[in-house]
Amino acid sequence: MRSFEFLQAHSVEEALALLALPSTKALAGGTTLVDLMKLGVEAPARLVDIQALPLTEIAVTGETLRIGALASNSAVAADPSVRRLCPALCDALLSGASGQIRNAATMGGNLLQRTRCPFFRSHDWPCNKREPGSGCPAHEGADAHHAVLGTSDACLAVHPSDLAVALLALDAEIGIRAGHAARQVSLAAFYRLPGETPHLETIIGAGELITHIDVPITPLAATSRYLKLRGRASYEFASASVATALHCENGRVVELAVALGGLGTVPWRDRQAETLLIGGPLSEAVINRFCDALLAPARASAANAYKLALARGAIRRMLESASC
Amino acid sequence: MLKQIGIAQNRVDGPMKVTGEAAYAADRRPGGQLYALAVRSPVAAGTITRIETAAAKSVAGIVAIYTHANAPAALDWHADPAVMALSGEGLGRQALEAAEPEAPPPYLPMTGPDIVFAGQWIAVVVATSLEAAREASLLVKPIIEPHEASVEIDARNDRFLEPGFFFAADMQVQRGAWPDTAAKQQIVSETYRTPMQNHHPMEPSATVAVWDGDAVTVFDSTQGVMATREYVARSLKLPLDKVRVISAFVGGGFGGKNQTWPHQALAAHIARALGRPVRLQLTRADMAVASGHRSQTEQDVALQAASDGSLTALRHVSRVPTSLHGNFFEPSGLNSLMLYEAAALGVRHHVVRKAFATPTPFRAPGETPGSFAVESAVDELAHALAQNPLDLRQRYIPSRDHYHDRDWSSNNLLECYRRGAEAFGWPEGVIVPRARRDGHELIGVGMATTAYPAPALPAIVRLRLRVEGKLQVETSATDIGTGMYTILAQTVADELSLPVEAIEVRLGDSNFPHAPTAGRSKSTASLLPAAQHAARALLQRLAAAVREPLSELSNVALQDRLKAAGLAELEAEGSSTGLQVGQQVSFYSFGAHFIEVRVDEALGRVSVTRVVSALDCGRIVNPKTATSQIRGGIIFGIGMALMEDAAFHPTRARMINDNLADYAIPVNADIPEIDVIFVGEPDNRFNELGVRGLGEIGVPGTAAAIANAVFAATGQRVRNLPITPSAIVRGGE
Amino acid sequence: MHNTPPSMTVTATVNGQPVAITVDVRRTLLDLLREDLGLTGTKKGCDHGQCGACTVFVDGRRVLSCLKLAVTTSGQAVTTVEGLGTPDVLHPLQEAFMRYDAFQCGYCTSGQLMSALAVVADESLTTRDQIREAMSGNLCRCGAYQGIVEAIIEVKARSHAAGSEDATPDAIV
Repeated sequence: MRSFEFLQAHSVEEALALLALPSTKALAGGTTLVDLMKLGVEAPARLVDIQALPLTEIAVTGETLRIGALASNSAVAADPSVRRLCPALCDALLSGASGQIRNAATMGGNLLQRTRCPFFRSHDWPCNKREPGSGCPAHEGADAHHAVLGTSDACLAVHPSDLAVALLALDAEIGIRAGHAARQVSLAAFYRLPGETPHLETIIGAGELITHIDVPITPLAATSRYLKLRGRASYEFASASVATALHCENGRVVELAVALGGLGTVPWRDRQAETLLIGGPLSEAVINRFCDALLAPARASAANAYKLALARGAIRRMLESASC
Repeated sequence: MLKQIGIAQNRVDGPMKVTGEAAYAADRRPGGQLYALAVRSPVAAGTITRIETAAAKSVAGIVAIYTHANAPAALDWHADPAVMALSGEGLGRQALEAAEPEAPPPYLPMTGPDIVFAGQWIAVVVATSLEAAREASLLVKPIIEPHEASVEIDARNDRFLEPGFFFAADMQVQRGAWPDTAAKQQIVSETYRTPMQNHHPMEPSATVAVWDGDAVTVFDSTQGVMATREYVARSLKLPLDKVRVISAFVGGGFGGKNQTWPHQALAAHIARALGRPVRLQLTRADMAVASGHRSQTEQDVALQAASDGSLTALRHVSRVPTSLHGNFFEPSGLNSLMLYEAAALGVRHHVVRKAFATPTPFRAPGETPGSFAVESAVDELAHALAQNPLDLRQRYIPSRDHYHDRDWSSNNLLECYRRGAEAFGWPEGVIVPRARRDGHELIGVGMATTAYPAPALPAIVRLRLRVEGKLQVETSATDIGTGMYTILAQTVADELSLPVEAIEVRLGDSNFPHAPTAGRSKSTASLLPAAQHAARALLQRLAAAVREPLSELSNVALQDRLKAAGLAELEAEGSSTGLQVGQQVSFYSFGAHFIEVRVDEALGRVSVTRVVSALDCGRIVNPKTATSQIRGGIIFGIGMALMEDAAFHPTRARMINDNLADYAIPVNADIPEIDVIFVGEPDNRFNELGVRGLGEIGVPGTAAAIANAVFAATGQRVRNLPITPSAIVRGGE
Repeated sequence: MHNTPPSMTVTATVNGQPVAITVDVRRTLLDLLREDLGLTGTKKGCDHGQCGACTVFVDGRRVLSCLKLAVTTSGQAVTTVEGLGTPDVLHPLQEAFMRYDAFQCGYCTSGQLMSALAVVADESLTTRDQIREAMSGNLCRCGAYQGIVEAIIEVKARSHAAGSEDATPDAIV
């Protein structure tokens, strides 16, 4: 780990001023950043400890559930109103990492966690995300755990967050501040596909800070659920995961949301494909057609095509077991 | 009379372990200690042109950086073939000698520019702090001229060696002619593959070297302090008595700390050169490449049986790799030799050299991958014959050790089958795949046989009776989690009619009397007889000192007599001889695993939901620690069956998942309650107590029982481990 | 010329004792405990948040000390295994770990105990499966998982029984 200047911010304004300095990173729970600094993957010149900032609220205001960026994953997962209003969010959080890590990890940090691609997480494999232009060993036939959706010739790295998948299904918005400006973007627009620039992962710019997450309170959100598949029973990133929410009336689908994790370079959702399910009953045939459409853009290899089967299995299980 | 032996005694080292007081190697903090950290080669084959160290040297707190350019001279660090032969690189050399008279050039990191595997240590940085060492290690930049390398076994094009004797068996056994296939026979002929596995004990290996004048104390994490002392002393060109190795607590080994590895000597060399204590702790990534592993295997198994199930022919051909420079390979055919008798028997091993780190014994080497293949094949045969796999196995119980042409000292395998099946509720009749379902889950049961030899080696135990304090038991053996501290206390307690609390066991110090390395399930049968003899010698010496026979013994009485004799303390040693050459009978442990799985095919999920294992391991000294050992072995088998797989990049021949997030080992939620049943009678032809070791027998057979259960659940036969979600949704291809 | 790496003073409470110590800003809480304070009961198993061996309590919650910079501990209260009990006066969990043989080599044990402490205290965790899941962030290569779960069930039942008379270990299924 390269040495750095350690700074502590006592207000959001102070944090934003410090984050405007070059080569400066915000330190929250540290579960990603400290890890990557030890590995030599991250080497900021300055760290701004933002843990003292008053961004830990979990509050219902009108039609919105607002969660502060520094609320811990554990606190949010255990919150009764979050459980009631958007259960998928709790289940996604509880399926991630371990109790110890969830106690330290924050909501903002969770959204900004970096890929678990082993080539990225090492200073001496080539990696276009870590060192643009250096190459991608996954593309050389080592892609069994890599992405099949949203990939590019430059990068196949899977987005690791369970939380983001649930938030995508829940139509969440991310509150961001820079200097005196504040903006709110939908989670759907938050992540960037790797394309030719895999090192650019989100729309967050230098000096910006996530302040909160807003989740619309809807009847649909209250039906949301999350299913995670992986090689061992716990403490592992997803091979495939799915967040669903489904609202039916008289046996016909009125509204639904399906988001996928573990398959994409970003959390994956296809609203166009979802329209295939709207208005009719949920039959095996129509679910299959939906899966076909959702997964149509996938580029899979012999080694990672299993993820497509897992995703289909998970989507079918979730939709068929929902009350409709 | 046995009062303590057979009791489920709590571990006597438990209070130290649950309070954090037990000091493992890296917990030692000698004053002025320096921290050493290795730099690994990212390429698998090539020649180092240059290593840039300027940036690393500029890091505050850096004391030294060693590479092949300066280590030989600065550290007196050389690849001496005689020293290398003592290390993990030398194990198996004799077996390969017949096929390859000229040994490959010895390999020692930082002695030359050649890269022979990815992960090879090419530099070591030494600093005054962990942080400085870590920073500098990332700044060392090797410039390497790469060559092509591969770790894949290529059955057609690789050049295979035919090893001779290994693990007390011929690696090329051929008996009888393969029978005429035109006869009415059932044949199973398949290829099975097991993955490369890392030991990954929770404690990464660590060595702390502290010099005092011309002598060095090495706090180490090893399964064998005596072997380590010899290796370190020979490397330093010192007499043995100038080197002391201490491993009072070892955070797991499983074979990874069974052999000696370069870091154990290197720490002492660096400490000598710098005149300060040095701690060299391997990182988790180092643990994947610098202390051995279990190699992958490819095994062809062919079974031929008459329609009643009687076995007429067995062929088990293993293709297994070793490194370019080392010699160890998996003797996968051992259990086929020992458990199955057929008129035609072919058990062969083909070894190929590959550009990866040298493999080494890993909890039940040979038996573990071999059992997966042969116990899967027997299950396939049972289904082909439309017989219950348990019935077929009962037919195959080996009446004697046919391979060595000897009787068993004892063999209660039938009782293992009977009691295990009863406790498990093993079904009768033919097992029909896909017949049981609960909601989305298919349920299946599988079983397999396990067996493991019961070796013993000479050992010495010393007792020290003192006027004040506990009776001390000393031997250089290590307790790597096995329970050795506890069973030694129990044994001595019984001999001297003392409570366990009156005894203090001291282990893992090379200044203590000789004991073998903890491995191959031999320690119990090596140490306990020696402890018994030591206790009896102590009583004799005490009787001689007080000039009267001893009756009515208790610790107070012993101490009173010591006082009466005017002595402050009295020592006595006892020894065991190990197995005699020319033994008349074969000593083996046996067992059977019965396992239930639930498979959710759509979700690619396999859960092990029930395990019952019945084992014949002689007299059980401590049911509590023995049960834990077996459970631990079974959990290794579950990991092997369902998740463990050291993956290599196909063209770069470098391990991808050299960490505990990507190399998955079972977590708590993966493990059901495991019911362990010991059926064994004391094996009194083996030793007076009738005890055998049991550290390894839990592993063989477990993966096969799981694969067999997956077949019963799904009708899908998985012959390539691990059985991942990918394997389930792909239909086991 | 070497520059001295930036350092800062950490003022915290460790096992009830006030601690003020100047450390390299890169130092983790794990290394501070082990190297500076000599509290070597907390172990380094992976140093990257993948094994749980370094689990400690910070302000009443279990966290991984290998992923926490020591300088972020100022003003916080840290409890390690050394703060739990001594060989002579064991914590009920430590006793239960011994009785159920919830460890073999002992290396992961400190982390398991600190995690178990949190699981015992968490009343929302009542079933065996929930306990297994909640303990899954602590790897044990020896495979002592069953004993760990049994020990937790027993201590949970006893601490529950202290509050309500009819609770027995059977209450957990």
